[in-house]
Amino acid sequence: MGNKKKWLFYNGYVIIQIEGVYPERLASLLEASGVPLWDLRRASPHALVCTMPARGFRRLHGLNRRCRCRVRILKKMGGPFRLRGLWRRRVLLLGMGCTLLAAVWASHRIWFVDVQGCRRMDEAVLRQALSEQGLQPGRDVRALILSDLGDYIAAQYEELAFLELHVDGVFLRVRVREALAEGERLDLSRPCDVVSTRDGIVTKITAYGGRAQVRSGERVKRGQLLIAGHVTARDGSMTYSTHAYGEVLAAVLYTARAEAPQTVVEWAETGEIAPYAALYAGPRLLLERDCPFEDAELETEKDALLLTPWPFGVCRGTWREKVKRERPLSAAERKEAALFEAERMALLQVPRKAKIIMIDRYTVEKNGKLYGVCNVTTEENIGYTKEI
Amino acid sequence: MKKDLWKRTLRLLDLPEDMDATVPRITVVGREQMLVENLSGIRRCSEGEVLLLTGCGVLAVSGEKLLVKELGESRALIVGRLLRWAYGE
Repeated sequence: MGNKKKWLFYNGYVIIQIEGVYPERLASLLEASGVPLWDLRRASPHALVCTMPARGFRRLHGLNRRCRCRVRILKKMGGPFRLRGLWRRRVLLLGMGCTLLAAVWASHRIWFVDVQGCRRMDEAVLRQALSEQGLQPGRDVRALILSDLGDYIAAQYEELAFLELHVDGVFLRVRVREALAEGERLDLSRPCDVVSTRDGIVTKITAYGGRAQVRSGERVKRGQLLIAGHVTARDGSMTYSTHAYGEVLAAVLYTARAEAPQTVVEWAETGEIAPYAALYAGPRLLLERDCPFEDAELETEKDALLLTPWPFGVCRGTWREKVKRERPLSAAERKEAALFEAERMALLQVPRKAKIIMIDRYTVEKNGKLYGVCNVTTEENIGYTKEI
Repeated sequence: MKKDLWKRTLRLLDLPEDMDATVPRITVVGREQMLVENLSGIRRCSEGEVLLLTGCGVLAVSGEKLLVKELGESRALIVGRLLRWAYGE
């Protein structure tokens, strides 16, 4: 909406028709007296149509005495005219006002507390702590200094390192940064080295303490020194021991081989069946027919019988007898089974935090036997802190 | 006499003549818009012709589908297809 249209809407405007022998005279008088006109056009040989602000309409009558024109309002538009119609419906207006006030009142308060990042710290305990500091749903938190409260609560609990609080609309967002557990903490006073836990090719090395002994792209063996704790100054003037620590990412290869099976054991139906029935009272089992077979699969369909106010239910079904049978595999099935088993075995060796980069699967024949081979390449931190 | 004196003063001071509120200033944008400032009223308004009262006489604007878009504060904005304009007495 343009500025002119906005101005017209807020102040209200009328579309009028001026009829008379010389309607332009009234238009000129209006213009001269400071009443602006818009969209002035001739509607008939003796009539002009134009738009004027609602406020100027009173002045129109005084000026019209000199011109003897007939003025008719064709349309009333804008906010004041709309509100006038609404003014007759007082209860609706009151309701709208109350709703608006309630919305304004509610929008200045928090209604939801969103906690993220709790692992060791119990979330219920944290919520209780927040509540004790006045951070609970329904509270106006504008007057509170959230950063101070976050620091105060974090200082109360040793599990917490940092607590970030911020208001996002009606949400209080709580981001928790937990402190390291006892075993995870770095004891920087003890000199130590970082050595490799696996064979691999270094992709990235960042030494936060000590001096890096390998570079990116270098092949390393298990137990090899990666970041040294014994550091000699570059000019050779002094040597000191420090707590070496850092991040050493390396590409590590995990390989597994599995022989292709000749047969596979599968469950097969014998064709023998037996009926099954059970009676329930709500979720509780009252009666049940036993299975006559050693191994069987049950197919059921549950019907609810509402005989009494209690929800009794009858469950009917069929026992299908099954036995284990050995089936010879085709060449394609043998290959697929060997690859599947090799991949499963290789993936079992991969640590949880490792990032899998590539999986390569193939089959080999050796001494008349078919083997599935799977190579999994990962990127992982291979640095391990070892005391000197 | 008074008008001449005022004009001479403006010329002497090297000021534009349209500083005099009775001298109209006309701005035409393409063939669709004409802004006339320092006018003193409107004499006739129709689709084919708009006559405006100015200090220099009646300004007649001819065209097609003419509409006085705004009239106020001693100025008029005429929109439509402008063909010609001329001063008359």
